Amino acid sequence: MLNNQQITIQRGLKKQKMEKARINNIEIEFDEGTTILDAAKTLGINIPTLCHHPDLIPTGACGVCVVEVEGLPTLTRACTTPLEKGWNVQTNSARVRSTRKEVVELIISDHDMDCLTCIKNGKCELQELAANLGIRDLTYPKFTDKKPIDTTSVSIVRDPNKCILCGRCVQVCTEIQTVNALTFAERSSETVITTASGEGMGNSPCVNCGQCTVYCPVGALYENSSVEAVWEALNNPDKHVVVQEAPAIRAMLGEEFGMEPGTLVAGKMHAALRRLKFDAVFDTNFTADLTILEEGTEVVERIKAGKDLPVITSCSPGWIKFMETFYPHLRKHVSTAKSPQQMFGTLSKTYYAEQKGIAPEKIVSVSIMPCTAKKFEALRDEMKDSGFQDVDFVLTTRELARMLKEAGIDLKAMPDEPADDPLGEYTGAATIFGATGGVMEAALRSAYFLVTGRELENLDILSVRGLKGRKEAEVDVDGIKLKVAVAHGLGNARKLMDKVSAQLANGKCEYHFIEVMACPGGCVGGGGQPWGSDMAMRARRGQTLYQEDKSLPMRRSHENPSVKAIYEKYLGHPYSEKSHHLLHTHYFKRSRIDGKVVED
Amino acid sequence: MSKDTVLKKYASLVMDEDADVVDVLQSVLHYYNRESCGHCAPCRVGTSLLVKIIDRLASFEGERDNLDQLLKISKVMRDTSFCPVGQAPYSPISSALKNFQDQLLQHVK
Ligand code: SF4
Ligand code: SF4
Ligand code: SF4
Ligand code: SF4
Ligand code: FES
Repeated sequence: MLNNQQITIQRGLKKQKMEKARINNIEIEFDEGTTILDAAKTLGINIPTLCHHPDLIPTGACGVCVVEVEGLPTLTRACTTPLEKGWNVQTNSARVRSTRKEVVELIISDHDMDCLTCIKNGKCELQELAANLGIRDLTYPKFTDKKPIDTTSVSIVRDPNKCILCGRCVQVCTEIQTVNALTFAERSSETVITTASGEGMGNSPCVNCGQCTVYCPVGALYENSSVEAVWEALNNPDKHVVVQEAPAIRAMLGEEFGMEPGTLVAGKMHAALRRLKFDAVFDTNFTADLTILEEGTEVVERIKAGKDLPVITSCSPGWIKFMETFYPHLRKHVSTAKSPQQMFGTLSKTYYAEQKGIAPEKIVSVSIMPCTAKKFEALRDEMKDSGFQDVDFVLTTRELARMLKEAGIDLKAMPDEPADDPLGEYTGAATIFGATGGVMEAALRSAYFLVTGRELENLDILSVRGLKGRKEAEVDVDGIKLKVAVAHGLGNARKLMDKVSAQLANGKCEYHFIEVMACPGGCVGGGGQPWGSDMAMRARRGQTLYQEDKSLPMRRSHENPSVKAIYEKYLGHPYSEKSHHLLHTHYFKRSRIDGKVVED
Repeated sequence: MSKDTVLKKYASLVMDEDADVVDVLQSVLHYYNRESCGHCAPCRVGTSLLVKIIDRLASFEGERDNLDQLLKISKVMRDTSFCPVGQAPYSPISSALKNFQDQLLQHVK
């Protein structure tokens, strides 16, 4: 799967040939192979599009982007057609304007238009397009009957009545994530997006990563919402409602309130959650630090013992289901440490309940996640080590933004407030969990200390940062050369796991420790993040987390005083018997047909 | 039916001299609707609408507007469909409208 960025880079390797053409009579010099769409953009001309997305290979499905090339008989798609030498392209001729308007009229004649009650109202690419083109009449009769909405998945809802069949979801699921849960079926007027078995997303190999929801231009794919359930808990005086927010939230919640992508809003977020009347505002970053100590200790012990190497990270639930479905033979390599969300859930109903003297059945544990797979993770049968469902409700970044807007809370105007004790304090190592490579970097900072008893001096491990699909590094820990690898996006994870599986089959794998995140870019690119986030935006949000890391007084998980306190008061030491019971888990083998657990 | 009427490109259709043009168009447009692979919106939605309209005309329930709609839709399809299937209906529709407008009008309510 190549995205445009990579295509440009590849082209950059070849000797460039510059050509000349004209767009709207303006002369332009362009690299051979540049599409009309991209060339026009450099002149400040935005040709309207609908199915096209900068991260995906253009398929030409909608026909909205047509332009007129002087001398050619029919109109031409700007998103799929490379500009040619000597062409004069018209993007706004009378013929182009009326034709693209009519294409949009055709598309909406097959669309369930109830914008006012639609999840995408105000954020919808089709709505914006219709507004920009000045569509005022509905010319054609609707010809399809209402189809049932797919609510079989605990993470994602699919409404085929809103689907414009652009195919982005299929492309993302197949090419970027290589899960192949979604597919086109039937043909002609009957064409639909569905799962292979047709039994709904909840009965498919879908790993709940939610990337399809981020790329869908309309309201056809979205999270299975828990907003109402959380309002109910907040309004119930008998409940003590606690909340945790994942590292990645603070880098993008601001976007939903008109702030620059990548603005850091950690303090404002804590304040806003207090105003929503959560009884305690904690931070998942606290348990991210704890995860590093549990997982880091596990890594160090396994490396010392040479047991089941490489160790693979376990904090991304999309990755975990993917591994259980496609690489169940690698289960023993995956760290048993629960994800920070689930560690928090357990501790909120055990440690925190005890410290505060609150009955655990009164506690409602809510998490704010950049992720739709976290909804699935919270509902896994085995996630009940506190004696209750450890995490009750998971809200995505988008859902939290909706709640804040409904409550009239303006994030921009919030003061900066810290999270509450004892589950709120965090270090820079925790905050970078949200970007690809972050868990690896955080783990190495502490693993170095665990092995040598000395602190790693240079804390910035740059070779594992950035948006390259697969990254590798070699770190010298007192003479032991640790070889680590990082993959983000499940297609990249698949390539890495194929390599690991092949090496293991031959006896030994070259890596000691591997980080995998299901979503491209890591959690900053998660399936619960604001709509329409492309790779460029994900990179900016990643930078924000590294900035927060740099600015924090403590940047190593093992320095976190609250983490030290919980070990002293409650858990004993990392990887202790008690932590094993509360903070570690196990994995299953799953069917590639319906995603359900199967016997080994 | 006059000999230069283009009813089906890339395919031939044998018909009676006094076949009703609406019946012929109905069969042709249903054919293209069946052949549409569904990949691109102009052809998928366009052929669906075309059969809906021609079915109405065939049962004498059409309106005057429907004739313009047939032409307008098939023209957008010609200009924006991804492959020849979606580009095809324009020729039979425009030539039927040119050569057999009377017959078509008889089908309007
Ligand atoms: S998907 Fe977009 S156009 Fe369709 S109803 Fe929702 S907001 Fe409106
Ligand atoms: S959530 Fe992920 S795995 Fe599931 S259908 Fe969407 S892209 Fe595919
Ligand atoms: S569900 Fe969304 S992304 Fe998928 S084809 Fe339909 S409109 Fe496109
Ligand atoms: S024009 Fe071609 S590509 Fe488009 S739907 Fe019709 S048959 Fe498929
Ligand atoms: S944007 Fe070019 S065909 Fe859809």
